[in-house]
Amino acid sequence: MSTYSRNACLAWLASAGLTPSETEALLRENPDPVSLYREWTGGKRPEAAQGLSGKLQEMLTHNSAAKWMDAWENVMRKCEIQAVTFQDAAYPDRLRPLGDAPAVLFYQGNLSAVSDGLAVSMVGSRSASSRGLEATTKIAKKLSQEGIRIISGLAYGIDAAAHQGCLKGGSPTVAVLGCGLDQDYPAENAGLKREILARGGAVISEYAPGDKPLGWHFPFRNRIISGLGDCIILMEARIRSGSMTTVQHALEQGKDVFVYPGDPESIKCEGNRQLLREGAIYFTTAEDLMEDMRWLDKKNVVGQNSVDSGEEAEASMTPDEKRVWKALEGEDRGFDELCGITGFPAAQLNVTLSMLQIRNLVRALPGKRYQRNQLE
Amino acid sequence: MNGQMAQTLSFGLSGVSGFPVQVEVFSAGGMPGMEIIGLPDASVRESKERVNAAIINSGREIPPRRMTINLAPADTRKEGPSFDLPIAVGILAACGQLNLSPSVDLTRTVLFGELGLDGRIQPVNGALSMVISASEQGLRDVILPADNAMEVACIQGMRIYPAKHLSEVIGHLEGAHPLSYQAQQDYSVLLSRPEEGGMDLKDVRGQAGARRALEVAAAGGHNMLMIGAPGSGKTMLARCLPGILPPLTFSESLETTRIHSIAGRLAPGAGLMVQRPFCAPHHSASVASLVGGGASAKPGEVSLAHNGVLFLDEMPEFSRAALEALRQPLEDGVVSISRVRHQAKYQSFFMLVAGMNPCPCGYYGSRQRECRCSPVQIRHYLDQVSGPLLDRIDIQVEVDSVPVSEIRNAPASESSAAVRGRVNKAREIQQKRYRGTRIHCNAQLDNKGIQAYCRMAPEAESMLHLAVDRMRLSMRAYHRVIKVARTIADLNGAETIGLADVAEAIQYRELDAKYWGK
Repeated sequence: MSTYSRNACLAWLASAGLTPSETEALLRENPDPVSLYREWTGGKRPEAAQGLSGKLQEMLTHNSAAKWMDAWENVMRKCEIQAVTFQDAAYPDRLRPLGDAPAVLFYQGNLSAVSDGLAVSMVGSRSASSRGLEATTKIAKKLSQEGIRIISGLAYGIDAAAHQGCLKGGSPTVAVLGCGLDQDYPAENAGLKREILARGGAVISEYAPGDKPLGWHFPFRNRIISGLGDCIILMEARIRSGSMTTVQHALEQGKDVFVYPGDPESIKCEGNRQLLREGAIYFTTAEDLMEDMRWLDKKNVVGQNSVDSGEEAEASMTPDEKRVWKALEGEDRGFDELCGITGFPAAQLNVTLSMLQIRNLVRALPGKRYQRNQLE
Repeated sequence: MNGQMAQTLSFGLSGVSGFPVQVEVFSAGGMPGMEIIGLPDASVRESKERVNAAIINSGREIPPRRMTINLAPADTRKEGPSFDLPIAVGILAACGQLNLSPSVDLTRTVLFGELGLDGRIQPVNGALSMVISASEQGLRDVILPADNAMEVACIQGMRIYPAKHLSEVIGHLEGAHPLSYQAQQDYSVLLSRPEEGGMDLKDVRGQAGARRALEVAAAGGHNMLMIGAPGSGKTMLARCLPGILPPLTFSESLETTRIHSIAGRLAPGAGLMVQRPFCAPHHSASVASLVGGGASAKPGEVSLAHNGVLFLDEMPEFSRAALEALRQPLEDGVVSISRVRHQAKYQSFFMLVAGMNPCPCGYYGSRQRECRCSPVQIRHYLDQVSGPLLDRIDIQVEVDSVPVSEIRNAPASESSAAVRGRVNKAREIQQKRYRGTRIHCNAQLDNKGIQAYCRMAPEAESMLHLAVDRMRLSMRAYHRVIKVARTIADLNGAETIGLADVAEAIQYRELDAKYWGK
């Protein structure tokens, strides 16, 4: 019998179909997964495995396990996937108090990014409004600049914006996946994932390499996202959504829940409204959050709020640009609306908008709407 | 009794051009009957029944003899019922029932028309092409269905005899009741008639941005894409386009009317087309119906839209194959269709105007309603429109719906005629600039042409480079922006492209980054 690496044996164990606590109990008895594998596939079946289905039982015999093991060996080496168990010292301390903490955790990148220092979980909808995305990036960036890491789920929308914001601010960020770490899911965020790893962050999952992104993985995975943060931020969510389950996990774990107000009209923020009514913490800026979490002394906060770089930009504008800039104060507007307010014909308005866009002062939203850019 | 021969002259159709067909009738003794040879199709073969009845109903009779009718050249397929009239006249002549007037030469008189059983002459498809070919062959006399007469009235140097009934033709050929020939018409007379129908821009309320985009598109012949929620007015705007384009020139009108005539799309009695065609095929359209095809290689919508506008509403709903098939005509302005028995080349130089929703539910980015599509759904939807096709569209514009309350209060807008005035001026500038080249309008400029004709002020150029960088414009978008800026400068009457021209043109290119960008 060939010997397999500890990593591959842990992948096998994570795929055995046991609950996290059953797996944890097994590992407590026998902390060496390699010998656990050898015994089990050799015929010495632990008690916890009695109730498993036929297919899983079959997989756990030596012959059929072997072909999986080779695949795991390969993919874990190729994708540089490591594994830690609850018993290991490297296991993130924040997850230990969780009742259903994963017994085995797979990771890529720098695992210490998961445990060191302060961390905030940021969640929200995949199809978020442009305003919500912008606010997410801004808040994440600010927190990151203060050395606070962002935990999120690498999905489209708010998740991606949160990771990106954190990277811009310079702190490492952690993505928790609902599938094996070798899977490129979602495919469009593969580049973001590489960037997270390149910038000293980590990507973690309780699912073994090769596990597909199945629908039921995600709500379950969300307990890790909420568990890894010192508090949690909800940016934008419908009432029936994964983000709301994350908030639920956070409440069970006793974490503070910060909710961004969002657009009071939009259906995309109905979850925000419900949580705020139920007493979640209202916040609009990173400074609000740091103040409430007592991560910042007050003097600093006040100083931050009074900065307004809009005036400086305004000084360099032509009269036409100023007129459009004024019209965009406080809210985004449609092209026709701007025509009406400024009195410019379409051609002239087009010219002015182009100039403002090129100077990064204004940006275009889908639906021929325009918005002031948040000034850095 | 010995055999008797007679010969008449007609025209057949191959693609957009006509070719002469000698209709030979040989009447001999033997078993009575009638046989048509020379590769006739079903409608030509059935001709003998119509001819039979029509001759009897014109007061003549067919003697019980064996009749052989040959349509020469015998190796080319003949289609359609337009040979009824020459066959009927040939039979009468071969049976000695026609006392030809000495002033008539049957071999130099072109005859075509479909016969009804009662002897009436019905209009046929392709009359314009046949008459043009006849004129090229040096022929002068044409007897044709009265309903086709207006169509060919502008062809100079012809004597067109419109006829309504077979008996009129007989009377004319015998000299008993000569038909009077139609007075020739000048194209400018058609042009000066008041235009009818169509949409006018003055009925479009609000939509300042889209109206301006439409004007620029018309002025430079640019293809255009409109993205907007359902009911935002994309179709209405597109329908206004023919009204602000300059009217067809005579040669353009001949080209376009010919194609419509062959496809049978001209109304009976209609003359040359003056307004540019507007074709709006439904998104269930097949490849063949779009670019042309079928057993006899008929022209498709792209050719019917020749010199006009092809409007594809709900573009992503069109089949992928249909959209890809548009690439050749968009590039070359011509489609070649090859079938086993027919090859045809149809001109298809059109302005493409496409409308689409921004996502499957239609409300992505809309203020009216919240979009319910997932990011993946939106991406899939947008990806239905391929990059190469998108690259051939110079102007992209978002159309947002105007709330009902604003529609009511909005002041009346500028009329199509006013906009057309500016468009015409810009087109005249282009005609002058491109005289002696194969280019008609700015949209046709290639990279070389851009180098030669699009001189930019230095500050305009540096701003464009900045924009490419800041607004993530692709290299292809870069060239499109210059072309559109050229048109905007033409609208302003400026020879050098200025800063403002480029800045405006950039606004028509930002959807690349917004919707398709990554």
